[in-house]
Amino acid sequence: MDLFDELKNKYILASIQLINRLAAYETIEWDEFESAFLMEMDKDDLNIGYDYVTQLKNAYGIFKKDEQNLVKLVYHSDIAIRPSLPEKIWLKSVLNHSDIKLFLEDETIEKLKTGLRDVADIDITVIRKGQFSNGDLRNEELRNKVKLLIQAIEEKRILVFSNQLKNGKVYRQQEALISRIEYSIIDNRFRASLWSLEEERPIKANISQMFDLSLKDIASKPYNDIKTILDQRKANECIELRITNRHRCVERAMLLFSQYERIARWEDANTMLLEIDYYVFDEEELVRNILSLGPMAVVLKPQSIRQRIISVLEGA
Amino acid sequence: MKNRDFVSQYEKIRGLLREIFVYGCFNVDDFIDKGISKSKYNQDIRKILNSIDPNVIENQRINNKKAYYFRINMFETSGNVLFDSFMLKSFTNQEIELSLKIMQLLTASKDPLTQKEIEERLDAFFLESGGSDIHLTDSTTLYRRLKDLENSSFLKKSKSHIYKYSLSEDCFYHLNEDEFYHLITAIDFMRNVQYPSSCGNFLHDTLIRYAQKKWDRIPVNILLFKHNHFAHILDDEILWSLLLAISKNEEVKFHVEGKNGKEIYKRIRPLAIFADEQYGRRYLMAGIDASISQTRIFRLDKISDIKRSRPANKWDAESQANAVIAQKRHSLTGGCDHLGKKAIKVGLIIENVVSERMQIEVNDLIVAVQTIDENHTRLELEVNQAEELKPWLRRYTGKILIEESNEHKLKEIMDAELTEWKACYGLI
Repeated sequence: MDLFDELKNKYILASIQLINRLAAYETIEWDEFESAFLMEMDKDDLNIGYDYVTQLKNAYGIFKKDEQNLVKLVYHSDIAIRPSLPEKIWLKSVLNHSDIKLFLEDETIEKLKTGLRDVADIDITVIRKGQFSNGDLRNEELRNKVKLLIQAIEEKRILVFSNQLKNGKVYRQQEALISRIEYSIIDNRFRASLWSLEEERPIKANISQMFDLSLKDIASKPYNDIKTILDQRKANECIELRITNRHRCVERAMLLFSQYERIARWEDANTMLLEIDYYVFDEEELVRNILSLGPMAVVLKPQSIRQRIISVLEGA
Repeated sequence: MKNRDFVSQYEKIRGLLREIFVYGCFNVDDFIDKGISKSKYNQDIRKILNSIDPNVIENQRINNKKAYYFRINMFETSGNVLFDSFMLKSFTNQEIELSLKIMQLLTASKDPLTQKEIEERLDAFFLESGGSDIHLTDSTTLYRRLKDLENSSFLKKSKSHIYKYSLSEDCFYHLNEDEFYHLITAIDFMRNVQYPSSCGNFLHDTLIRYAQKKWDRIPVNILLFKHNHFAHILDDEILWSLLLAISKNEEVKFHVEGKNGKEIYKRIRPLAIFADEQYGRRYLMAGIDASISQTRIFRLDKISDIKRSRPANKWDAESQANAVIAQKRHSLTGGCDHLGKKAIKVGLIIENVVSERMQIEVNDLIVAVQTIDENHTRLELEVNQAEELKPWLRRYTGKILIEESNEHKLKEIMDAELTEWKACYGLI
């Protein structure tokens, strides 16, 4: 029951996909076998595995060339898709996780449990620490909102909603397009990444603070994908930090900022220079993370963030 | 012979991948200094580069040599960019050829087949493809392949008067199209929040392939993840072995890198796994012997060469684990090596503007909350080690006062650090 399994090798999975395409009577020219394989791999060229593809095509006795120079299966049958045993054990376990109900109906969960009744029960619970809050309350209200937001994304519908901010201010009957549901693992909270149709700018809303949600007709305006929305929020200048490698601080910093676009280089044996690209809406969190590293992390630029840290230290 | 383009053991690329992901500023010379030969580095880097999405890996020139690094935009992917490295396991052509043919035969067959029937059909298959009839399917090789496919859960073996093989049950058979696509979204979420995430990522990949075959429709991307650490997936083989050992009450043996960088051999009894979501590290809490005071913490990324074995004597893993979990309550992120040791009290005077947030963040550690005046609140925390709070307290620099105590030296340590910190910015 290994996780690193040869039947899960990408090349083997691509071979199965190719067999299944041919079993569904798709036409592939014999000379285009390699490019059809590459398409299954989602690659432009075969840097490695070229020998395997040559063997698969010519020596396995699974494929043959017909009179019209087309690839045919020697034995005309597809290959069923089945999850591996670790996948089944994991699925069986997550069906008992409270969050699964945000996405699946009880009836679906029961169908899956029935399908997995013979799979061993193995507890895969890992205790999570360092989550900074209890997060959103998992209740029927959150479940219904998540379902509606998923529908809005899938059908590209206009979302109509009201929203209460932290300061108590309420915005009613706003219209927006939703691009993604964002989940913060540390905060354990769900947010909606939205494009406000009234203000024509990207906004984020805590799903727990949204109410009176409904969907309107199909969006006629061009749909802004997440990248378009985010490109408008990127900071002009990256943050540059000098990290001193004390108490394994370099490793901690690299892990702490691993979710950001970053590039590092050693200044000398004991100091690393780290550049971080970021979105302006992440600035507060970044400043808190920089502070958490103490004197081991010094901001070199931008001046605005360096000045923020200096102000904090002057007030301490 | 195994195909050399792929990787025989994940352990062989795990260390290199981690260095590239976490640091991204080491070139071939640095790896030679770490004891990796140039040819091994070149071989492994080629395999790694081929497995990882080219959009997330870039290189910079350091001392005129390439250093690879990851450039990830968390808003552009909901999957773990390191997961594809799990799809590189090497194989022999003979094994895979036989596996693919068996899978085709069993998918086509309405009835379960005996090994002899499978052998006959494979022989006919072989002759049909133009092979000679001198060398047909070898029974022992076939038996081993069938066993491997059974272990992988692709097929099942049943016995009436003789063993027969058939496809394993389709556990998604009763789901309609809508239900199935909702399942894909659910697993997209769970693979990022439930460890081992490689299992969830493999399942997500299987579901996408299943959906494409059955309904020919690609699912819409719904989710984005913030604060998602990817590097932990590199330790999933270790985690998986530990979870199996915990569930079966087994001992494990492994090598672990000590503080001096030297590897030490350990034989322990795993009790519980903890994940630190701030830094993306995972820890094993293990018993050294049957005594509750003899427990140790190990970082999973420092463990290698893990092997499971039956314990020599009875071991009450559940009560031990519960004791560990109870003690862990006093830890914000890190460890509690000394079970049974009394918790330390830390008093803080905090400004009310950050009071709500701070109380939420360390909710498990708070034993008393007291209003001081209209702008200040006093928090009393119970912790295993006072210094563990340092990174968290630094976040609120200027808005908190640490009380002096006979139990710890946290105030003195933080005051000295603040002086050094100010000097870094030329403030003193």
